[in-house]
Amino acid sequence: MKSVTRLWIAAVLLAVIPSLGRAQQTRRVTGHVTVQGGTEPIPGVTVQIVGTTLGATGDEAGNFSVSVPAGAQQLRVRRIGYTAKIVPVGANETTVTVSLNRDVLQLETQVITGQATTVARANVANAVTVVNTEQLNKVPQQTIENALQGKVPGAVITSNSGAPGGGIQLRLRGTNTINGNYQPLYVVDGVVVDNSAFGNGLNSITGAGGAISSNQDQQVNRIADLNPQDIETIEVLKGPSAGAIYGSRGANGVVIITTKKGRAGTPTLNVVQRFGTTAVSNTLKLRCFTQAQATDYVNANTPGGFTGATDYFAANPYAGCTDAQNQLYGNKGLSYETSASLRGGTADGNTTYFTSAGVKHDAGITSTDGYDKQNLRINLAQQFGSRINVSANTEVLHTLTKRGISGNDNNAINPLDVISGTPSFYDFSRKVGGVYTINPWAVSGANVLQNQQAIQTPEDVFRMIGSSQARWSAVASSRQTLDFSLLGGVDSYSDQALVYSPSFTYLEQSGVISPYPGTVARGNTNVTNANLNLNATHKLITSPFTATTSLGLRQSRSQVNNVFNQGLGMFPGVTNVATAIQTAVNQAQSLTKSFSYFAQEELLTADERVLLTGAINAERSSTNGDAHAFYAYPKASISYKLPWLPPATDNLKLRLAYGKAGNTVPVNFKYTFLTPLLESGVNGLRQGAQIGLSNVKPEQTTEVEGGFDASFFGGRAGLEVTQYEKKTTGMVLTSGLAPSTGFTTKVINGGTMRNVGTEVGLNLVPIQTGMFTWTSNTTFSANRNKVLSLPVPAFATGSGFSERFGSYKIQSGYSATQVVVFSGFDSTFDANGKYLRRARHELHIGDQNPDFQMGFSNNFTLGKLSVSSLLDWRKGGYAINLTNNYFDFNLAGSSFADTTKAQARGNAFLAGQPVYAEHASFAKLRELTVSYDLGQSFAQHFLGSHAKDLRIEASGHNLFTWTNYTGYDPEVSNFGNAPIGRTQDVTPYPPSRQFFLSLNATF
Amino acid sequence: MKKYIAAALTSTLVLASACQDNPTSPSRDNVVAGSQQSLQSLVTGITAQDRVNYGGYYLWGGIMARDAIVPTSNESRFVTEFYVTPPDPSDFIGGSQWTGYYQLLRASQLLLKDASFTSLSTADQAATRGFVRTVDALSYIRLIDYRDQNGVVIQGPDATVQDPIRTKQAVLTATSALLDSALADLTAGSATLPVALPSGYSLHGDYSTTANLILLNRGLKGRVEVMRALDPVAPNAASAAAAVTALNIALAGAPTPMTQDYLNRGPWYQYNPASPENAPNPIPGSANLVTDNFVNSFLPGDVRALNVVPASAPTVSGFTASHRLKMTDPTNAALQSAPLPIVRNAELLLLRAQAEIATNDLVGATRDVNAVHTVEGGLPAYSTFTSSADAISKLLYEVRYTFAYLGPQHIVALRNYGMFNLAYVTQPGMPNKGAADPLVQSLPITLNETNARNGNITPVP
Repeated sequence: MKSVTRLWIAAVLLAVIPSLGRAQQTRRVTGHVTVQGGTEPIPGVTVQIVGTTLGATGDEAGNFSVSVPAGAQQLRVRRIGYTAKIVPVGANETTVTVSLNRDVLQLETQVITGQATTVARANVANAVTVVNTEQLNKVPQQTIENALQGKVPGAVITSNSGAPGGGIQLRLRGTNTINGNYQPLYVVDGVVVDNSAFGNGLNSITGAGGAISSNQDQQVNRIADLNPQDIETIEVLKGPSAGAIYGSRGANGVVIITTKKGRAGTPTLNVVQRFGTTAVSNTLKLRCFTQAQATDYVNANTPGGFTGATDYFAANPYAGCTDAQNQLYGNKGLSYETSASLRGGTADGNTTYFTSAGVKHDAGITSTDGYDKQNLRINLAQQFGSRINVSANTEVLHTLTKRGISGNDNNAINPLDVISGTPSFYDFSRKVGGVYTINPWAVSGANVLQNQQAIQTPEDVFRMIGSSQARWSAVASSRQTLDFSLLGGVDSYSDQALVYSPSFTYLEQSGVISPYPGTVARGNTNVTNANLNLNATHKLITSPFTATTSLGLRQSRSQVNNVFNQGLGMFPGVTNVATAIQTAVNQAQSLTKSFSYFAQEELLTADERVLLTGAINAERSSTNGDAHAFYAYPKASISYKLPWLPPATDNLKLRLAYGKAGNTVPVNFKYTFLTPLLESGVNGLRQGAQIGLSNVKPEQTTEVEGGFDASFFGGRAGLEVTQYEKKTTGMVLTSGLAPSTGFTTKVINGGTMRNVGTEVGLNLVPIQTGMFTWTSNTTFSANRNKVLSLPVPAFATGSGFSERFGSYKIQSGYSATQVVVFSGFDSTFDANGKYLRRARHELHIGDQNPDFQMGFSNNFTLGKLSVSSLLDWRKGGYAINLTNNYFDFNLAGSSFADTTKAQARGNAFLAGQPVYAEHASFAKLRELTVSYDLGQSFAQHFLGSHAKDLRIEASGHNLFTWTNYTGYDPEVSNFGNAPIGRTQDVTPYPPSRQFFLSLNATF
Repeated sequence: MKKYIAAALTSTLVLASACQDNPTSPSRDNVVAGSQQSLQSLVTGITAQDRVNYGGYYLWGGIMARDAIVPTSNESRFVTEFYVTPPDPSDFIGGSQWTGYYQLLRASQLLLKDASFTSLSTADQAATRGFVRTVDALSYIRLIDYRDQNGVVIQGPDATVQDPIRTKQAVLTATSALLDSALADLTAGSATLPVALPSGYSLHGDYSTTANLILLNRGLKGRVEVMRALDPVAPNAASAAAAVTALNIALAGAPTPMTQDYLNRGPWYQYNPASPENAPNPIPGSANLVTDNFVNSFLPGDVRALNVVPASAPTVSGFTASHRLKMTDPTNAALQSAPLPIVRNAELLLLRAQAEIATNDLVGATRDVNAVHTVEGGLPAYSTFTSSADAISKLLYEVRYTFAYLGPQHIVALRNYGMFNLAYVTQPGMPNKGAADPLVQSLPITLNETNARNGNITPVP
């Protein structure tokens, strides 16, 4: 391997050495860049001499200095967020002044097209969405996925519940896989970061699944750890045609996150202080009882331990119509966030730095839940001479999540489960002798307020994401450059979860969890992702074309060790598992290694109107059946900016892209395991339920996308239209076997799945006057999935509870994410009319995914006042509302206020009708912000002479939801993130809305 | 398909040696081929799986016979699937009591092909095979207990072949032959097995010897023949006598007067909730209650009624109950390690009584019913039954109270005698007896099995 690398480097060097050392006469040109129509400097501009590789970067005050060849030249001045401008510099000129227009349509954004290359968005051949820091942070967001909702065409971003701390799934351009990795690849400053989700051990008290922890633990996927405020841009490559260079992890798209970096010039300090609160945004309407009705109810349904209403009400006074949801979820605690960042560098730009620190607390809608984060980032870069640059980016963070109890349970412990079976004339908040009363209506005796106060669910994550990069500019002439870069990155975190249910609760005393009161579950998960990238990039600029050649190799490693310990019979207040009466342990571990080579060629020609790209990535992985075999993932694309344009059209670019990417084989799918079964001190073994595939290959997803980007009316309107088709072949299926064979599934490579979709982005500046500007961004996307072929009989997959409620089935000719439900019965009678049996019809009711979604983002600026909003509309899709099933059945006559409707629904269900599969359409006002810029003089008056700006903002998140869905929230997933089967609604954590008041000061 | 199985089960040694992904569980090659450790592990895998399978076996039959009821707020299907609608073949009730048995049967087949087995002496092979096939037969019996006329699959030697669903009659015939084959092996085999059996096999008698395993084998043979004899669809005339013959062997040496110790003899499941075994007795459960009719139908003086205690439960879909058996008390820690019978002599006596009723031996039937009635019920002995109907009535009483929360024997007996009217009990919320009552008599073929067969689940002879 090493020898191959050395040969490869040598070959590249030899190819370019003839061009070394050709120097030219130069002069120094300095300049100052401001916003068009004003004096506000634009910091950090990039200046490039047209037709050459030469350039420089401006400082924080908008100044730049660049070495320019003799004679008249042209400078291309650009900055993200502004429209680039080409400025002529006369042969004798040494100073220039440049003003740039704001780039509302983002045409000048640089898009990362390879491991080490970028190209202007105006030329790129894919529909790549770039979201900048301003768009991300208009409203305080818990996670970056929250921040992306409604802003990326083709991305379906769905929360799993309203619990604090995250738990969100981002899916790009439909579902590509059934069993493989279904999430996009996240890359932060070149480091592949982990987005796994681990349970916290909640299952140890809910009994929802097996083992100590399960996928019903209401997990948080760990991309939630990243701090949105540190991010400069998020670039979303939506499919293989753009992300093929990422090989076997690019099939689901790639989210490339670039953090803020230092800039030359005096340091800029930015301080943000936010205060806010969170409030439950939806509760169910519960049934009320008059005292007479309550008496009748108790007499007819006397709970155990009582003889009738008289002694019941003597012990539990009639409490009127109490809403336990409000008692439990009525908290409106203080949320706050303090963050500060310092950005700067030496005047010559040789040393730059960006450092930030933050403290954040989000209150939950119960008084004991919440989310805390502390983060510290340092990004440093040092230029050594003219050829070597070394940089390091490091973030250390800690999060503490307390999410309480929600989701499925089998121990009558989930608050909504308990509430559904407890009539509203029982008051959970009543205390006798300072102690909450036992709930006589729950088999567990559970008092939801006692549980909320007593049961602890803290999950601490300590994480470090760091990378170091060295760049060597081996060749730097006016016509060509050759750069080598070596990047090593590590993402490592420790996830320490605790679930502690003390012995004194009625729940524990009832024995529903175990006969030993006092339960503790401790999860200890260590995850390390590491990657090492070596790249060589050669750029050749000639008059007919600019050719960018890049070669590289990448090695990556992913290691997971997940250990859970459970203790039963804990002393009060003690959480040391070693003191338990009974203990149990679970462990899961994996180590995956992969290695890849890649090569890419970009050709920008025809007066920069045509961009041709070709690339190939060859990769092997230890999870493949043949761990040594390389699989090739090519891509090719072309974009063409038309030279002749219709009236009122500024630019019109046609684009076409093709790419193939893989999807990593899930760990251990090549093995057939034995299942350990202990008995009488002997470690017994039997064959596992799944037959592995020893020569399993990664799935291959091929994508073709085409479309056009156009801008009109001098940058006042932009339209992007994209159509794509993706086909996944050789799917890694765990196809269902007849269980009578002794196996339930077998791993196969087979079948074909297709996703076809449309994405539209419309950006408008309807009004732009001196004082008032209105910008509007509208996104539309729709995706249709279909299983084109399946080499095995249709089989059930995904997580669910039964086809009677609604579940998921892989079936040729249908969407892979279809929801199937049993609907009604066929009764069979014999010749004498005697009833024999009933069978159910299977109904293909719809899809878990929406038919389409749209995002409407509007920003109104009147002088220093700015108002922005984001509306997210999702049409279609089905959720399985089992929460209604609880409330329909758990109180005689239903616990819903509308008992008639609930009883009718319950009876229809018992008659076999699919009443719990519901349309999940909704529209949500995701963001609303009112911002006022108080200006420099005001800032200096209050904050001192160093202050440059002070802005005040009032903002809200998820303020309103319009939906016909009858549950808490159509955004729901009892099983957390999953490619299929993520729409089960089982007594979830209710949704909430957040309000914030922010002060943003710059020094 | 064949190549997948073969590749998976034979070539993982090669793969594991090159393994870079640190697998969580052992793969088959981790068991050292041909060693004593391997054989012991594989046999324990079978007995432990049998214990796992019992985890659902004990419950559903009691609910079907309406002796047990499980009203719990977090899962309304415990009541709705049994009293309002048929069990759903895709869920945890209608889909249960299927897969685990076939995993056990496949594990048995793999063991008998494993080098650790084939390297044994002929006598040790015979003893081991006789034991394993007897456990296999128990699995088929339990499968038929729940699927009844829906039929079950007789698993063939090749996992790549989807064997047909066979009729109940065909399965019972095959199971009977399997037990005879196992008997021949046990008879020819070593006196003791070359592996240790779980401790529960020597809790009430030493059933790790081939001599006593023969008793178990014949007991199961009797069970199968009783099922064949009383099959309401296709009763086999010769089976009643065959059952008596087999059960006479199984019950040879029964004491007079009967003792509780003898009634308890047989292999048992021993539970151990402690780590690392983590296998608690499955029966305790906060909502595992009994119906009012069950509580109110004890004969006066029946000491088994003392095991019934008050309990509270929510009303779920109109169903509730107010009593439980002590053995279901979730707060009693001692129950976590309480053993449960696999087959005990009390069951064999009641099976022989059924065979005797079928052969019109009412004296014998009275003797056997009384053995349980007097010792376990603490009740005065019955006089000789006056008729088959009288005998069946008395027999069913004992079956009901002997197997409460221990298995489906009561609903099986009601099915055999066509006496479902006894299961139409009075309970708040329960449907009235009649055509509208969807009394669940058997579980459906599971949806996964149905899907894999493209919906064709009609049993073939």
